[in-house]
Amino acid sequence: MRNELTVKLLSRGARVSVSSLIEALERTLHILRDLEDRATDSTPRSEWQILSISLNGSLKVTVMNETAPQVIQTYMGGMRMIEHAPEAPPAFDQHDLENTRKLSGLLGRDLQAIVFSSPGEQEVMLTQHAAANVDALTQTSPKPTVDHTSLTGILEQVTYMFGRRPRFRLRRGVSGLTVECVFAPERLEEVKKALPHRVRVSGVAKYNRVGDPISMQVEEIHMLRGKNDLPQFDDLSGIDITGDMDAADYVGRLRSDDDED
Amino acid sequence: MWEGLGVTTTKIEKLGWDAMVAIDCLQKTKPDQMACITPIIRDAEEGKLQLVCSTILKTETCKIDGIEPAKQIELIHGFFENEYFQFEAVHDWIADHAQSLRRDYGLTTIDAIHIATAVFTRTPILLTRDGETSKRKKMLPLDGKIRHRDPGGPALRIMTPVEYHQMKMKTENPLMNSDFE
Repeated sequence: MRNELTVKLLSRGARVSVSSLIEALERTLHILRDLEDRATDSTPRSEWQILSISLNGSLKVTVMNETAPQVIQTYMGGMRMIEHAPEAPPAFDQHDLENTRKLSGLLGRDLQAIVFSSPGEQEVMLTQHAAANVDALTQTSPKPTVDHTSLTGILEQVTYMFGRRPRFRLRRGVSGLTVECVFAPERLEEVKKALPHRVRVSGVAKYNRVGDPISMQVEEIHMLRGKNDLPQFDDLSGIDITGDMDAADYVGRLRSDDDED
Repeated sequence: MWEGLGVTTTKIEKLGWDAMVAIDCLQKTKPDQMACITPIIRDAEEGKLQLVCSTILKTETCKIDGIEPAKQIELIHGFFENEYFQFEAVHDWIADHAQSLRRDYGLTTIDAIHIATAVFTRTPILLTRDGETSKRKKMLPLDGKIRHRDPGGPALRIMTPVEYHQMKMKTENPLMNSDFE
């Protein structure tokens, strides 16, 4: 099945400006290409082509790509998610979130609505909720919240530049959001070794407006073991925690005791 | 062994676990519970499901009466390190929300933390057996009463593994009649 996406632009006035059309297509294409890059190792990228353009009350542009891996479903799902709540779509990185915010920023100009559709997919109307949700995810809380905590995720994209503290990105499974992790230069070898594995990092985290961590000053990195080195469900045998008690009674007793102490 | 009547759960991104569910899973001594927990684990192993837990769950899954063998400690520790377990630390947001839950619903500290963790991580369903015993009836009655953290967000479902399993079976087999329950 080929990738096919229709972008419908509804103007506030009689016509859609050329700059809005270009920017809408450019931002959309940036995200599609990012998704494509992450879905495949092949280079160069395949070319997206225009399948149709129509102007009938609204401007509709349909783009397609026959050779790229299936990314439209991921794109539509991501747009739907970010439109609905300040929750990062798992396949979107910070760059994609920023492009989404800029797309919805066009709504403050001459566009009334941007609607995405694709065969077999429920259409998604982008509103300024998306911009607010991206802001909530990426901007630090106005009242800075910091907390000493630990986070688990995949360590990816190490950045080491002269004059700047080295950093890596931690992609969290729970929210899908990446956390910018700054670390001391003497930890570089440790960080390189952990790339691209699951790690648990501890340190002082800074949070966004909706309470998700967005950055951390890393103090400790613990590389987590892979599946083959871990006991699996079928390996669990002979475990006795509660003795003869039912687990619900056992935990109930623990919690009551804790609250009475 | 416990394949839950041949039913596997359908794709849900996140499922919250309370400590009693984790203990049942670890001990494997209750066939009725395992029939419902095993399909969940199978889905998690296949990458269809993430089991979201508070880090406090780790402190609850230990033996306090008697000596716990080192092998058991290592087995539990390693099992929880599997990728499908997502542990969320008790940070400021969760602590603040748990405080409100304690005040509003009279929950114990730990009950409130488990619920606050599900709310924070936008986990649609939290599985617990807290409320099945005669001594305590705190978490299950809150099913559908606590909202997720996004404005207008859905309510958190709180149910037992058995109820969850039945719900899944009904979803997957719409013609199933209520006699099955």
